[in-house]
Amino acid sequence: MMRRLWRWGPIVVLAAALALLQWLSGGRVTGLWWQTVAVAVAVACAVGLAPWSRWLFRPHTRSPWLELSLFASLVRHFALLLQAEARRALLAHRLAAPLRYRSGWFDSLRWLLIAYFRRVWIRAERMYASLLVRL
Amino acid sequence: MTSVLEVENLRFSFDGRTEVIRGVSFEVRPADSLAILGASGAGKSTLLWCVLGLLPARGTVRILGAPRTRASLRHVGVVFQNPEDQLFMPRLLDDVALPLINRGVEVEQARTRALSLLERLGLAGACHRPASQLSLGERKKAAIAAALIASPQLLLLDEPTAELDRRSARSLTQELLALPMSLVLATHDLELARTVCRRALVLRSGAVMAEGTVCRILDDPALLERAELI
Ligand SMILES: Nc1ncnc2c1ncn2[C@@H]1O[C@H](COP(=O)(O)OP(=O)(O)OP(=O)(O)O)[C@@H](O)[C@H]1O
Ligand SMILES: [Mg+2]
Repeated sequence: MMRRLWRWGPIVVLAAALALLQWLSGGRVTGLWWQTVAVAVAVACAVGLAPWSRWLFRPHTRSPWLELSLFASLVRHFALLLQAEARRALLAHRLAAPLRYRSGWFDSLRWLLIAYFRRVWIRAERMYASLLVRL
Repeated sequence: MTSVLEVENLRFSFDGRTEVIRGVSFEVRPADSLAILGASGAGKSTLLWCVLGLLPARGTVRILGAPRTRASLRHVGVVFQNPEDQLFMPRLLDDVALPLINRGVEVEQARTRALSLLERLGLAGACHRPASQLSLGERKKAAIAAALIASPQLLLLDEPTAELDRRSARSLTQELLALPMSLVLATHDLELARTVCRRALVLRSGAVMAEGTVCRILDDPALLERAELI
């Protein structure tokens, strides 16, 4: 339960940062912050409740729904990939270069970042290829 | 003698409901070797990740007699099940040399040592290529080299022979036998476990089903049957 709540941390920080920026720039603090949170909650609910598999694998439907849900599932897959790969990459870096800020640490971090984007890209390509093969 | 690794009542669940690791305890003494056996999905990889603190599990883990900290990871070498995840430098040579460079060894000296280790594992020809261009088996060996280079006191290997052909698997087995450090090996390769490890722990659905010497475990077909290992 706690871990689920933690996942909302970045959204809350983003909302707070938006409000802070409005306040710092001397403007009025609008409802932007709660709208940000509301949109995030709505999207999370939509993603969680949508019957993805039913939409995707209903045979012989070429409805706009299929196109839309395909696109949405691709985006969702991509977001999950970014998250999972980031965790793995940071982990691998921590094990390979455990002494922070010491020699090789920054340099390897740079290469890690490059490898990270390449891997996410390759995996997204694989996903796309598998969709093409299946449909 | 203090044990190298002490795990007590480890519990973990991905979703907060069903536990994937259910109260696992074990101990690894210096220069000892433990095989974690279990069918696919038994929780071997998850257990290793929990032991390393990479997944937030409940329970206690002690490394070299002290509670596990970020610093204690320095004494541990890890080879992931998917070696692609841990090789990210532009050349294989740099991947293997990085742990030494990070620990303050001179760059040229680190590369020389990395090269000789890669030579021993038969990968010298590939050392100037990025790991992404190697075969899966070659990558696995490279990841093992990267984990070995800093002479850790504990080496955790997740399915080290899964992608290797028989010949490479055999030569890797010989390499592992010659290592001085404590080993923990998560695998369903019973042959490998028998040759390399002294003790074994059988996992099933995330719980310890049996523990003992490798001979006792592997010579009990009924047990292996129940663990879905044969
Ligand atoms: N990210 C995850 N989220 C939810 N469940 C997961 C996740 N990763 C693994 N699991 C589940 O945890 C259980 C244990 O998985 P684990 O990868 O540890 O098995 P394993 O014993 O290493 O299997 P294998 O021999 O195939 O590598 C499996 O039932 C798996 O479905
Ligand atoms: Mg595994």
